[in-house]
Amino acid sequence: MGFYDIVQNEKCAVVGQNMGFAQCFTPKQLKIRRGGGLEQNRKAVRSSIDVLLDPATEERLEFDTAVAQLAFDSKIAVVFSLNSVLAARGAAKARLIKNMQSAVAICQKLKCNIAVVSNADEPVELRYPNDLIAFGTLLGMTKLQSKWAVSKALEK
Amino acid sequence: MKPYPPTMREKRRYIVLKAEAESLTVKFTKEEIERALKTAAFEWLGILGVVETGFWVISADEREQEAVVRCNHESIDRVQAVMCLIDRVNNKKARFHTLNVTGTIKKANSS
Repeated sequence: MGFYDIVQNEKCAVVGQNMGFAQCFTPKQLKIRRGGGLEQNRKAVRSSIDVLLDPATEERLEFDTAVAQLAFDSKIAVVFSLNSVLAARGAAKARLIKNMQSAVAICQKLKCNIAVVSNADEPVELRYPNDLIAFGTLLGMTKLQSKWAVSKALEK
Repeated sequence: MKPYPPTMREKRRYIVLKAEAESLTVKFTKEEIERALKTAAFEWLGILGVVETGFWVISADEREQEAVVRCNHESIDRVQAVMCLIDRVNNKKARFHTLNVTGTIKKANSS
């Protein structure tokens, strides 16, 4: 089973392939739009993109069933990155994970394609596939769903 | 005192972790590795969470930059997730990678 990741630059993509990923996508290879606020999320799912990255932030969750339905209809993968959790500090980290869990629950209800990635900017921020699978279970997915999120979700 | 019957005993699992720094030349001491793991566990799981998961740092190896932590069989995923969320050891950028999950310390030390 091949594992896939999204990273921010070619350097991390090369290191990631040595860590067990079949391919590490960079922003040049996939059409990625960063979510967050309600307008950002809505605008992203209405455009022709491949991936909606981080629809949840540490502020109020602005990812609702309407956005999830549009993402499902347009075959857009909803992607949650580990890097956003590592970058948050203090109580914001807890709020962010809580919002991510709620967003995952909405995506599961509407059967959206969910992926879990590292979105690393430096090689030290990369994580091995098993660690990303464990992070996925923290967001509320089962082990099998989490494995899918790291492998088949981004497989073209 | 009588020992617990086998059905009531906590089913322990030992997770072998490897510390990887930003640069290959940076090596952490045994105390730094242990402190990073314990701090992360208490920060992410809390005191009650550590109690529920049965988390404990068994040993750390400076030469191999590896550590063995213990938890119960129901909380392997949670503990692994916490370990992957560690991004610093002694204020230097680093990550922990799970090498193996075993049922005995002997297997953990030999892997």
